[in-house]
Amino acid sequence: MKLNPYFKEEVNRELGEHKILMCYQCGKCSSFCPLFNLEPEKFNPRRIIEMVNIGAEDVLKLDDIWRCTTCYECAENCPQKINFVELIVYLRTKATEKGFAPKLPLQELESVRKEGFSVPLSPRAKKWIENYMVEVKTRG
Amino acid sequence: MNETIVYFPGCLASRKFPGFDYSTRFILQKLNIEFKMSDEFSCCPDPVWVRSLSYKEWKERGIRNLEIAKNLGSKLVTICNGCFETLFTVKKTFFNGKSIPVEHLLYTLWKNKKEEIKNKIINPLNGKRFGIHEGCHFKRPTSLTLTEFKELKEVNVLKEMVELLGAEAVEGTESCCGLPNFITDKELSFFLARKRIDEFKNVDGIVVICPSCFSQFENVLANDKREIPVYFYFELLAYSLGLDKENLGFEFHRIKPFSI
Ligand code: SF4
Ligand code: SF4
Repeated sequence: MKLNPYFKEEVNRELGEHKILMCYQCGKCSSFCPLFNLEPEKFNPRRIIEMVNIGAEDVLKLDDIWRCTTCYECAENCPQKINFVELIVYLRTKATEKGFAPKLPLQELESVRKEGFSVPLSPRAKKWIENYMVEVKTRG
Repeated sequence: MNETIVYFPGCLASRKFPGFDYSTRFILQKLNIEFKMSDEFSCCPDPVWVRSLSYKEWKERGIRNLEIAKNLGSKLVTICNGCFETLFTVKKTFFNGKSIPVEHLLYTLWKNKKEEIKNKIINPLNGKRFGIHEGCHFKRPTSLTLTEFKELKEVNVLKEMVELLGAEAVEGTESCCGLPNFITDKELSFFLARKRIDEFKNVDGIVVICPSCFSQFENVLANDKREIPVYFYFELLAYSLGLDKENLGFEFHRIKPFSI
């Protein structure tokens, strides 16, 4: 594993107050993480923080960082008040800049760029809206 | 509550499940809540993928939506946990909290309209038993939300609001529906949803307050050929307040709702 000390410095500077370096690897984040509890081999937030804090920049190439659901169970339970979701968002943004992002989520971003919305308006929904949205009928 | 709220329906409720938007407008009218909307709004944007792929665009669009809302009314109200998370977080992070207040409509109604709703119910849901799922981003991360919505620490708002309609509310672990990683690891995502769904035994349906949780639960249940209907809370509330069944937009559900 190639280590880059500047990477850990950069992450900690960007997220402020060297927050991520405050991690003391207790593993509480992982024990509360629903994904870790289902598939510890596929996703381990404590391990991701460890990789960042030793400067293992290759963390950006891992599929793992795309699995977090951002449910905040980890952040709610971290004794050091580290918001792991902020770290995941940062790592994903960095990975995207370097071209490592998976294709599917990129489609959503493209749709927001082009249409302003993440969901297309289906012809069926359009018709329904034209029929119903005019007035609100009540029984009361 | 004599104020004009700015109603932000969000992409899914206005473009994929238009009945959610319709039910909400009906509720606002029934409860005499003055509201404004804007064609200028864009996607909130999504706090998971847009924020993860381009933090800059997420922030800029979020700020833009708040700026539009600020000129229309005194409070921005969403009906989606994702819209709530984005707009609330952007407000907290980039305006030092000093922009238009942002709330989820469920909280707004719980805080101000419980009595009025109780008095206006025409079709109570007595005898129904619903599994309830608030979803992660209704109150997490609490380090941010509890600074403004202190009551959420003690109260299960959705439970009280379901009971207000006369139904029984079955609680569970409050774990994640799994929608966000549907796109990157479908197997894990479905796993999470099934775990959550299986917490609810002998229920007439599952009630959610986020269109994303709604679509995740329906997709998993349809995939597994299970007939547990999923309801968006505001559909049930609109029905209880007198909205005709055919106007609820139930045809956009993948799993046929039982007759209510
Ligand atoms: S819970 Fe906090 S301190 Fe403990 S390992 Fe996780 S991030 Fe580090
Ligand atoms: S936010 Fe991500 S890392 Fe944290 S508990 Fe949820 S899935 Fe696990």
